Amino acid sequence: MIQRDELPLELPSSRVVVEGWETWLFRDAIGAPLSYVDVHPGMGFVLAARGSAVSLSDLLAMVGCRLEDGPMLVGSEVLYHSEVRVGQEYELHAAITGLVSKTGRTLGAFDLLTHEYRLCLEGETVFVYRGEMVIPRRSA
Amino acid sequence: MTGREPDIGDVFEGRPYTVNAPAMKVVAALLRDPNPIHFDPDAAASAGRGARLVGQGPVTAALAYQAVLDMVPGGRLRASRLQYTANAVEGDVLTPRVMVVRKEVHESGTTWHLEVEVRDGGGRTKARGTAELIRCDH
Repeated sequence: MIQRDELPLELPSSRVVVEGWETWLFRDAIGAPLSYVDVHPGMGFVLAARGSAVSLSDLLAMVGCRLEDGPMLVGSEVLYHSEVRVGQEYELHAAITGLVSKTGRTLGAFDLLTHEYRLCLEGETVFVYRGEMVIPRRSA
Repeated sequence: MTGREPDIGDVFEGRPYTVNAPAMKVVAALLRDPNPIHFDPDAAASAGRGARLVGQGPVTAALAYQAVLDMVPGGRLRASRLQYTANAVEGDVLTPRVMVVRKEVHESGTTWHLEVEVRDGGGRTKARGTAELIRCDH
């Protein structure tokens, strides 16, 4: 488990390609116009999550959270500097940017985990995703 | 809205979408999301969600993005920031709503600054936030 004083923590980077069939399936799942070529803006996070060298469950494990603890996505931010293209290989950088302890009336004790994915092409940022997740700390 | 270009104060309602199990399973596989509350009714029940699967936040976001894209043919989502205020669950009918709050016409095209919200059939907000749509005219 990571220590808070290690944050922000860069995670291992990787390389990722979005395939035409993936964007078709995603578009079909959300009821958007179908295409093998046009990457839906919702695919940026999908690409980052599945392409990261650190999986979603590994990311949660790094902050001491199991799926059965009930982690919840509570916020997200996307920024497209340019279009993500089918068949293009991107560098994918990931980081845990924060882990802040909070208390809420409904949730009780929890940590707010913030993390970031960045897709780059030849050193230039193409897409940024920032996510906020609630990590319940019922035993805290 | 009519066929004219969106302007400040205009409101656009996106297409309703029913949160459904087959779609959740596809998205879970695409995301490599191992959380069974998105595909296993027993796991959703164990997590205190009844037997209704819990929809993925990125799907709710994508519905909002699609409503933004539908406003302006040829437009491209530049940015969005959303807060997820409640879980969407299997059977919920989600409808995105987009309002133009600012519009900038510049040399290379137009930027629309938008407020977005996704509600269920009972009027409960599932997500809300902002988005920025750009269209390059050259």
